Amino acid sequence: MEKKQCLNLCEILENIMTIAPKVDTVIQKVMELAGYTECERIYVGSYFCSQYVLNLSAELMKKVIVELKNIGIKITLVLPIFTEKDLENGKEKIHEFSTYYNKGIDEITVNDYGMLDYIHNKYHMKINLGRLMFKDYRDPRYEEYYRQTSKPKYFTSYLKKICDEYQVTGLELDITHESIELSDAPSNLELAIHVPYSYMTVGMVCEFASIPYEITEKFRPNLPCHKECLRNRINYQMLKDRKYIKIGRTVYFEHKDGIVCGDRSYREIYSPIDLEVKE
Amino acid sequence: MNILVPLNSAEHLKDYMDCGTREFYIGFYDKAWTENFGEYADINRLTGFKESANPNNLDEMIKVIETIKELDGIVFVTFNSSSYNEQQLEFIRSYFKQLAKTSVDGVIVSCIELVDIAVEEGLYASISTISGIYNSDMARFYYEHGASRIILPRDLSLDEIERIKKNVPQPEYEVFLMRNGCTFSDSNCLGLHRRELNSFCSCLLGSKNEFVKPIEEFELRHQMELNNILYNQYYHNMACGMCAIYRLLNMGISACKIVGRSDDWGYICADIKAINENIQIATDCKTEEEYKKRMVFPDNSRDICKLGLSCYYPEARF
Repeated sequence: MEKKQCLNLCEILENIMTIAPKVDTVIQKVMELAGYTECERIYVGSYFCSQYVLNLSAELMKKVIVELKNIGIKITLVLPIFTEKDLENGKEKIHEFSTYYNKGIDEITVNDYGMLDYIHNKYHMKINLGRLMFKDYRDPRYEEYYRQTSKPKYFTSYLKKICDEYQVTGLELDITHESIELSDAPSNLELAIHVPYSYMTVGMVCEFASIPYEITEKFRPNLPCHKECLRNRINYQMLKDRKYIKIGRTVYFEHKDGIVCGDRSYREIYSPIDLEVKE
Repeated sequence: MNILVPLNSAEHLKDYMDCGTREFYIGFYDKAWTENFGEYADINRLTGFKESANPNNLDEMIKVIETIKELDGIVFVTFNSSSYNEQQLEFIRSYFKQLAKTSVDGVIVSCIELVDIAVEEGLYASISTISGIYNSDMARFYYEHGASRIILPRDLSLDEIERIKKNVPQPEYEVFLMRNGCTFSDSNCLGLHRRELNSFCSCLLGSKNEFVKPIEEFELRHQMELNNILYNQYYHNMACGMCAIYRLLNMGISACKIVGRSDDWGYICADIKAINENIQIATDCKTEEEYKKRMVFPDNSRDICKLGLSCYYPEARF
């Protein structure tokens, strides 16, 4: 099975870009961490946090897009779920990036049906359904369950219908079990698999964003923030042999043991979380 | 605004109705489902808690539905596992066919596939919070696919609820009001809910944790550690939205929900009474301020009405 190598720089672009002054040097270092020999594309934006995308620097994006274009690496823009208060601002941000659509950014990943409908109607771009749209349970606490080979539930005729209607070209998946079997995946769609962490849970309430607020103002959904999440993260000692970490609003578990079965080619999207926390 | 209450069996139906509610949601178990799809496959989000959350099989539950209807109540059946495969969807279609022959008022569904199936089988589809309808574009999408009611997530503000309702006014809206809070989003919290290890979040928040980077400066360290303690130990241990009733009522929210399908019925009764009383007070009040002065507080107010940490809608009070 062919595996295209991609990097996920969502929610960590600022930190990663401090590793070296030039983008190609940064990509080279991240590739070394991932054990990659090449990098076809990077993912920027966020799957989980609207505040991150709303505050994503246009200047940094421009630098990354221009420098990556020079070395032939494509870019996927990833859009999180915007709650009602941020929806219009989110659309303005999407418009701000539209200068680069099909000129550096060649596809968009959406994470909800509302955004799928919006992007499909407004922009002529390739669309992926993101990892938040595929909700198979994953829970390494249950050894017997986790050790099963998972055939994802979501490869249904309903999914195919939605993908046809909205001309979706790709699906992004997490490894939910020790191994994941992709033989039922629609053949006309490109699959992408996130490694080496799967997301376990996420919320609209951000512990990190709440840090500077008075107690009565803490833990409200989508608090405006100063990207406190970029400065630290939390490790949980929940299972002896399994790493759980919280980055921003999201808790991930490590699945270095995860296996992708079947003969489908797919994109592997490596997230360099271990380089993430800013010194 | 109706009060929607979990019902495990008909045993306490009359008690609940006497306290002031007529709207219920209910789940069921089915051995055939487990035989077909295995021990870890859920019909609804609490299937893993076995009979404590779903004490009735389908036939028994249908009898409960008919009893509720005889008493002029409203009842929904919940199918809100996070996802289903094609065979499971067709199995659920067979449940829907049976339910369509009853007087059930609707089904609570967690995914767009089940909205289609419910509509095809002539059932009213209420969109579970598992779908995560966080904005008006999503509400419109589900409404256009046939949703009659949308249960909004717990982690939306009152302003956001009001704007979604205003922008997409056609469906009915339901909100969370009492009992178990949630630190994460129901829609993308993907641990198993089972009696062996309970929910993922309770395990996570109860486990030892540490910041990856040492924090040298005392003031910042104090700020972050205090924040972490409040988040892990106090935030949404219990949850209550009583202070928001005036605003929810005036927005035209159709129903407010008490969660806790495996909670003691006596606590549910106390919540129903208090909410009912507050709805009456809110109806009589001319302003939100007047309501907040006159409202009654839940019995455990001494413990939970502190610093907004147990509030579904803290902005109503703090």
